[in-house]
Amino acid sequence: MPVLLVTSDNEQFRVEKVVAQRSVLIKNMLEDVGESDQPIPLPNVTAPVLKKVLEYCDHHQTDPLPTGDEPSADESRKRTTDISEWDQKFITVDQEMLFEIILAANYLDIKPLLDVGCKTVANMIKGKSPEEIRKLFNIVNDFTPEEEAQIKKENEWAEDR
Amino acid sequence: MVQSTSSRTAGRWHGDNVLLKQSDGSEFPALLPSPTPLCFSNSTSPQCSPLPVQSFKVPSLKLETLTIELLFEIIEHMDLEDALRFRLVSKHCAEVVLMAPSILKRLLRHVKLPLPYSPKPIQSLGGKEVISLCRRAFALDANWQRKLDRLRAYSFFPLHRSYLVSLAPGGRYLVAAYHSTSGEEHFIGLYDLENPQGMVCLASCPTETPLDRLTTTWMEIKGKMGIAVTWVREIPINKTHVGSPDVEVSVLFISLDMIEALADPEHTTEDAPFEYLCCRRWKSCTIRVCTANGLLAVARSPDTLSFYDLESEEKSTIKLPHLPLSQMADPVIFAIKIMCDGTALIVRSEDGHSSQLNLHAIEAYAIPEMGQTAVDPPPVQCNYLHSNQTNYDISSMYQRQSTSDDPSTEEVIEALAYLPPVTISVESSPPAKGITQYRLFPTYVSEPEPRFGYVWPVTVWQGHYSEHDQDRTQTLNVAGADRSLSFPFTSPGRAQTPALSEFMVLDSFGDDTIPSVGLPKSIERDVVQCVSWDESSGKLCLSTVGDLKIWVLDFAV
Repeated sequence: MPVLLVTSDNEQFRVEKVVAQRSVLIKNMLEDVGESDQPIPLPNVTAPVLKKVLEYCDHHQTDPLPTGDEPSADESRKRTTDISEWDQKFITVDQEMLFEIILAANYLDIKPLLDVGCKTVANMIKGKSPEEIRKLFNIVNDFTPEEEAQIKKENEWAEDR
Repeated sequence: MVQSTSSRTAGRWHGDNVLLKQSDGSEFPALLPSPTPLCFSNSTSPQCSPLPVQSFKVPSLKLETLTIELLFEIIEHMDLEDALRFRLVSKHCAEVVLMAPSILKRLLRHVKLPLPYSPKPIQSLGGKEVISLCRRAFALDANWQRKLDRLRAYSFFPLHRSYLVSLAPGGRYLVAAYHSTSGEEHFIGLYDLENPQGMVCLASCPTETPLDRLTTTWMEIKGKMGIAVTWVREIPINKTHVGSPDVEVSVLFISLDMIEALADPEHTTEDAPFEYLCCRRWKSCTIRVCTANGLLAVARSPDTLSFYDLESEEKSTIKLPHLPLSQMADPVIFAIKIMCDGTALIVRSEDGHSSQLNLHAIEAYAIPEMGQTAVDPPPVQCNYLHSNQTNYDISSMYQRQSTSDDPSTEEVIEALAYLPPVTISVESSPPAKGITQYRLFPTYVSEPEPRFGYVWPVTVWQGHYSEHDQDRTQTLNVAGADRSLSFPFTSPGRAQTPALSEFMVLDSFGDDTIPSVGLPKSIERDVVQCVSWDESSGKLCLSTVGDLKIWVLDFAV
């Protein structure tokens, strides 16, 4: 039975329940309201982002659902740094969309997607100097000259590579 | 009083013509102006915005505007090195990383570099402490890989005339033996090199007479972590006592709780800071000591090893067997080390005073159970060599710092039970002048039953002096598990103290030419009195004769 999702910009998405249930938030909502054809409002997600997220959910609809509360499983999940080929392609988007996906995955509670997003950001940062990271993410260096001098002195090893 | 200079030095392989670039802090590269962020947002002030309201767009989503929880999620996926570097991006990034010590500790588990020793459990460390521990490990690694072109040197006047120094592992606390200004009284003092108030002397204790040797190590005594200070001194002959002087070995203990209380400027503690754990005297003889893991080991030439449990005061003894085929009369034990695998490593010779080549032995003996005496036990392992050298030094690191408090079996195996390599360093006999190192590397054997140990026979490494150093007559050796130091010098007359014109850092690369590193100009002409090397933190401490300063050379830059 399909589920109706409504985005913040009032666009409607009709998706299979098995796809929508990749989101733990939606899954719980469905369980709470029971069988109903009421549309589910998602006030924190815009249509372009939801479209992207649903693309992910569709592709991964047959994956086993994460069991959650196991800390040891959590630990190993964090350390597998590889991203599958499909996910890699999927997540090759501009920065703003990447952060939108991370926010949406967090809001919709789709752990594996959140991980793919965060891993991607972590990989972008990997091995880069602070200056390169600032350029990449458009971050302003707001240290005072004194703070910066102090920090540079303590962290010469991290600057030149 | 703290005097501080920053310096960079450029080292070269071959010991000659050491390049030395001296600089003050101003040589750090000028700060690049940070790029002005480009803003594509259409949001401008209303009066200059003719655009209709519907084209108003919220500022684009940026990394920095993610919630802290999401930034934590991202940091979880970084390598620790990247997480530390991320701190330098902006104030906000620095704050986020500082607020996530538990994430940093999880990342720390996956770090494969040697860590500075931490007397506190990893779990109890706060954000700043974890960051400082890791920063030091990464900075050292970077420095060793670029073959040591950097060090930061600073010095302080200890207000007294210090003559022996010993850095406790971790590099924060220093124990120095010093004379009072009048020269009539003698003390040891415990210094905090990283106190927020600057360098301070936290505690001192009189020693009656000058000390011959001084070592420090961390250990747990009666459930308390603390620093054990071991000294050897000669008791002068008193008028009524005929014969040779006595030798005394003492072990003092100061708990970390006490140290931290004393380091607090508002402390009110009244208790005596040091506690005597052990004090023994013997008739004068050649004595070598080692303190580790709750044990004091005393090697008395010609043939006795004693082990004292510092908690229970129980004792065990080994009467060493004769060296095979030995006919010489004056056997000497040059050095002893308590090993992590339950053995004691010694270097001895059948004749400690001969200038001829004779038989030297590197042997490991099982430490007997307390209360037992082992007579002529066979060594667990042994190597024999022909040599005529006597100033052996064994690296002092007992165990490596683990990356977590409760490592899994797999982690322990991968880290070889945190056994460090053991290095015995000695000057090579002429004609091949230089340095010889005998090294034992840790290993894991799964058959017949799993155990950790060392690979025997010892690996021999020989470094030759460059032409420049050929005329040096002596070398002061400080052995380290991974990196050893040597100060080649020409002894002026009978003096035993080298001028600090240069020193060398040997590492485990296996090149046979000895790399050398120049020292900051201001100290290179001074005369070194004592050297202490904490390789875990990369700090080298020197007391010099000329201006009575204590120098700290920090390689974690």
